[in-house]
Formats: sequence, structure tokens, C-alpha cells
Amino acid sequence: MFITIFTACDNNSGSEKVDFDREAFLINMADNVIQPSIESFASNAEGLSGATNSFNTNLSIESLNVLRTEFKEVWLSYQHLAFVHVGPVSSVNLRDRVNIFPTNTDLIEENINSQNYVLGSAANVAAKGFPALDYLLFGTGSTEEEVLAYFGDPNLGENRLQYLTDLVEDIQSTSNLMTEGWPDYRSTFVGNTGTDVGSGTSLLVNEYNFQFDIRIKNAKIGFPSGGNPRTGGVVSPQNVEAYFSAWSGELAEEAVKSSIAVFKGQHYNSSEDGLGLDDYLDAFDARDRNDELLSRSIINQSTAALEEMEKIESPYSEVATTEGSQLVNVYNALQAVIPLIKVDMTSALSVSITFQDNDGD
Amino acid sequence: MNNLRLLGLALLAVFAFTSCDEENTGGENDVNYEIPSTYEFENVSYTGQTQRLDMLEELTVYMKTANDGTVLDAQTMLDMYANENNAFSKAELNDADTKELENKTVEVDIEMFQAFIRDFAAATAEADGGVGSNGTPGVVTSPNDASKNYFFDAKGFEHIQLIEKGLMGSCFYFQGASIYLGSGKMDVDNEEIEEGKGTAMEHHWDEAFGYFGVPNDFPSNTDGIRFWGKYANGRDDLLGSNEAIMNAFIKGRAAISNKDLETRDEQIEIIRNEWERVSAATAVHYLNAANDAFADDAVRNHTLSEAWAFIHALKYNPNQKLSNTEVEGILAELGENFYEITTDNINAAKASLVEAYGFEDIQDQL
Repeated sequence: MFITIFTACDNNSGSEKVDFDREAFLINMADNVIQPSIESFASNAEGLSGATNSFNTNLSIESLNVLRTEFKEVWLSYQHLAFVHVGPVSSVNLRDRVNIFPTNTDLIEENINSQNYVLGSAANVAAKGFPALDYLLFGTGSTEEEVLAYFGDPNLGENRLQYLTDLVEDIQSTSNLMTEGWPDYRSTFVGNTGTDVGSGTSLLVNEYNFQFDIRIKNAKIGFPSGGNPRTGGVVSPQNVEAYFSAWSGELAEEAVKSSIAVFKGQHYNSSEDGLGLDDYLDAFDARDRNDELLSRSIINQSTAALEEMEKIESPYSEVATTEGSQLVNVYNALQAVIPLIKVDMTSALSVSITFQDNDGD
Repeated sequence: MNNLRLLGLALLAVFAFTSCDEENTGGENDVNYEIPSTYEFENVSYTGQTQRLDMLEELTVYMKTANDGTVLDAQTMLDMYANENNAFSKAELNDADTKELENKTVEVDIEMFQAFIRDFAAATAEADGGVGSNGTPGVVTSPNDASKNYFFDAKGFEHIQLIEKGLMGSCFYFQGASIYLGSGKMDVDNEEIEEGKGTAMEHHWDEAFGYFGVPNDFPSNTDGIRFWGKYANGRDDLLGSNEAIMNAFIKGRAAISNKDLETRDEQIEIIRNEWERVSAATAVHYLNAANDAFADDAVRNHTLSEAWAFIHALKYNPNQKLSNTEVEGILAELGENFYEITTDNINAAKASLVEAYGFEDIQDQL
């Protein structure tokens, strides 16, 4: 038998004054988290562009491997940037523009054959970005030689290289738009210190939730593994992120690590801990339903999910072939974070969730 | 659900509340707010759910005309399934553009139901009012009761049951037990009250309740019970699920309005577990009926088709006691031709269910 004691009096509605400098919090997020994340993505996108050019001029196993490595770097850095999907990151629609998976390999081949495509068109969201590169650089052959042969094909090789180049240029131009747009947006972001819809705090909290709930918990884990109830428990291993390169685990782990870092307001690429959502919650003395410090619960539960991920050694596409696999444990661990961030955190900070898992009533 | 929470349920959880006004209502409640005896709250609305129950009812009425030898039109049924082309006789349903059965069916089953519908229509066309038997689709009448006549396909499957009871599982139960009580619908705003609908969380809870198909003063009143409400009531003597489920819906709704999410989560567990028991016990009930009428093609195939659907539903609960593979295994025990099923097949399916749900004491009374 265990006993839980509730205290109903200390209702921190968020309307009362607390000792927290919201502007300092937004400045830390802007200058030490978001901006360096955009910069890192941009420099990795440069690397990808350069490697693509080299690959174009000289098809070799060596240039292919350099290209793959650069590709992985930028895909990893995306995982962090997707958590701060505000301002120019949001206006380029980063998530939908570069990371819609599963990719549509038939459509990619159709585009390559027809040479008639507009990558920016909505019809092509599943034929571009990282998942499309994943297919081109890994899914077109089971060995490096086969992938080279795919691009060296006497008939279609040129078109294929062109498509590859176009995909990378699209990522590069997305990156440029974000870099260019950031300085202007920064002042708007740090200047709006309220918690209304559209304020920096509201955007951060909403995007944090969206990325965690919809893009990590559901898309990366819940749908392919059958863990999400909407699947009816049916597995779909072909729906994992990075199906062809088998980087799904590394990318997902990076995503959860990024979530913790962003939550803590940790400076990008350093362990220095700035003012983050955790400090904000602590200023309210926000508690979870077991009366633990909410910030601590969020970090602990996210870390527990990460630990479940680290237990998995095989590619997610293999793990997900089995019903009730270890991925379902990951899903459940991620799910346990959701009430903490989507209900308890938003309520403590008086922020409304503006997105819906919208499938009508 | 995480194991800790289940463990918490297994142990007896006692909640002591300290309230500001030093007033403890005491009594039967273990919480410090009022829990009404019926599902009467402010701002309750679940018309969309009621409309979907109405839609399945109309579809079923149409399908049942096959039992009198009518040839069915696949498009009419597909339209009712997807609420297109003014398929319903009730204008209100045709007007409810966004409400349909199809887009609320668990996605992986939509094609199965569409295929059931097409196969059903094709079988009625092939039979063209004729009598059915092993290998021939058509109407089969019970030799013991001339009022019992059912349309079976060539393998003895009654599509009406596969579709009607199947959608109870893949749509109503899936939405009510899995989706509307799940994170996507429960980890939502509970502050802003919309007139007539309550908070988002309250509204979603009401919608889950709407899929259960009972009046708000159930079970003291059983008038108008439909679909799951009817089947819960049918097994209530042995399961006691009526009150368990109803009380949990009422208590959970009160808990949400009082921001007591711990209590809400306990009620979710109760609803999910009890609702699943109703489906499993109903399946065992029909397997028993099939055994009892083993030599009667009409009644045996009819009850087996019901059982098939209630077993299939067991997939759609986050707390499911059987994995989907195990559920498929039980369905496989029933085989692909109900005219050729053996008592061993039926008993094997029954034994798997009895073991999984702990029905040992009531397995033959169900």
C-alpha cells in the first residue's frame, strides 16, 4: 500500500509574480542556443555542398565516403535545430522541408527520369531533404561499388547526379535563409517577453513539445514500432528515419540529447548551463504530480528514454520488425515525458499549446 | 503504460488530500470534490460519437436485408462507411460532413473493411437470393428455429458481423479506449472552457464516453443502450463491468474538471481493462454458443462470426493482454471455413482467451 499526499493550496497559476528574468532567459536561448545551432547547421550544410561537388567531379569510393560523412554531420545537427523551430527556422519550415520520412523512392526515380520537378512544390516534400539523400547515397546499392555504379550509369547517371546536387542545393539555400534571417528576428524574439501566443516563450515551449511529441515520439519511434496506439500495434519498419543508412538510432539519440540540452538552456556545443526552461520552472517551484521538482522529472524521464535507446544495438528498421520490441519500451519512456512537458510545464508557465494532434472529433 | 503505474494499481492506492478549506467531504469518495452519480456535468457534448453510432446502425439495417435474399450494392455500403453521396436516410448524418466511420477506423483495417463490403456485395449477387451451404454463398436458416436466417459467404462467414462488430472494435473501441483516453487527446489543455464543450481535455473524455453507447444514468437505466453498452450489459452478471466502467467514466470526468490527473489516469486504466474484458468475455460467450449449436450451420456460423469480431477487437487497447500476433493466432485457430471448423478449433480459441483473461471460473457460464 502506498500513500500519496496532495496539497491543493499551492496553486501556482502563473499569474503571480515570480523571480525570473524572462528576458535574460530569451537572450540566453537566442544567443547561446538558437544562433549557434543555426550556425552549426549552416557550416555542416557547407560541408555537404563541398563534398557533393567533389563527388560530382570525381566518383570514387573515397569521395562517396566523404560525402556520406558530411551528410551525417548535417543530419545530426538538424536534430538540435528542429527543437528551436522559431523565427527563420520556422519560416523556411525546416522540418517539412528537409526531413519528411519515409521518403518516396518511386517519386524520386520518377523525378530523375522526367527531369521535370520543382523541389519546392508540396508534391515533392517526400522526395527531398535528408531522407531522399539517405536513399540516393545508401539505398541505391547494397555496396559502395553499387552506389557508385548507380551514379555512374551511362544513361541516367547525369540525371541522378543532378538530382543529388539539387537536393543538396535546396538544403544549402534553406540554411542560407535561416542564417540571413536570424539577426533581424533576434530582436523580435528577445523583445516579446510575455507568454501569449507568438511570444518567444510560447514559441519555444510549443516547438519543444511538437518536436518531442510528434516528430520524435511518434514519427521516429511510435509509428514504425507500432507503439503508438494509432497504429493498432502494427509495425512498419520501412517508416523509420534513415532507413537506408541505418542511422536511425544515432539520430534519435541525438534528438533526445538535444531536447535535454535545449530544456536546460545549455550553450550549444558546450556544457555551460545557461538560463533554460528548467530554471524557469524552478522559479515557479513547479512540481510534478508526485510533488517532485518538475524540471528534475523532465530531465530524469528524458534521460530514462535515452537509456532505453542506448540499449538498442541493431538498426531500428530491424528492431521494428518485431511486435512489442525494445522500441516500444523507448516509446513508453518517451510517452512518460509528454504529460510533464505538455500539461504540467505549460500549465506552470501559463503557455497554451497551439498545435493539435488534429484528427477532428 | 508504464509498469510502475500498473504496479500502483495492483497495490491498493490510497490518496489522502489536504484541501484549503479544511473540509473533507469524506463518505464514499476518496477525493475532495463531488463525484455525481450520473454522467451529468457542465458542457458535455459528444454528438459526433452518437452520429457515428447512428451511421453504423443504418449500415447494419441495410446489410441485414441480405438475410432476406436481397442483393446488396457495394457502393451504397462504401458510401455509408465513408459518409459520402448522402448515403443515409437521416439527413443529419449526411450533413455531418466531417463525421464518418472510415476515417476513425484504425488505419491498417480500413482496406479490410472495404474488402469485406465488396466481398459481401459480390456474394449476395452470386447467391441472388439462393440458399447457402459449404462452398455456396447464400441464406442459411436454422433447422431448429425458422426465424434465424443469416447470409453467409461460401466459407460460412457472416459479413454483417465481421463489419458491424468489427467496426465496434476497430472504430468505437479503438477510438474510445485507445485514442481518446490516450496521450494525443489527454495531454491537452484543461484550462480554457469552451461553452458547450468544456476544456479540450473534458471534451475528449466526453467523446470517449460517447463511443461506449449508454445513457448518462447507466446502468440504473439501460434504455437506449447500444453497441458496446449492450454487450457490456449482456455479460454484466458475470463481469460486473457496467458499474465499473460507468463509475470510472464519471469519476474521471469529475477528476479532470478538478485538475486531479492522477485520479483521471487511474480511471483510464479501469476503463481500458474493463472494456477489454467485455470484448474478450463476449467472444467466449459466442464460442460457447457455437459449441452448443455445433450441428446447426446457421447458428454456429453466425456466432462464430460474432466471436471472430470480438477477438479481433482485442488488438486495439494500449493495455492489451494479448499481443497482436497472439490475437491473430487465436483467429487462425478458428480457421478459414466455418462450415469445416472442429470443436477442437473452437475450444482451442476459447482456452487461449480464458487463460489470458483469467476467466477460468466463469468460462462455461459466459
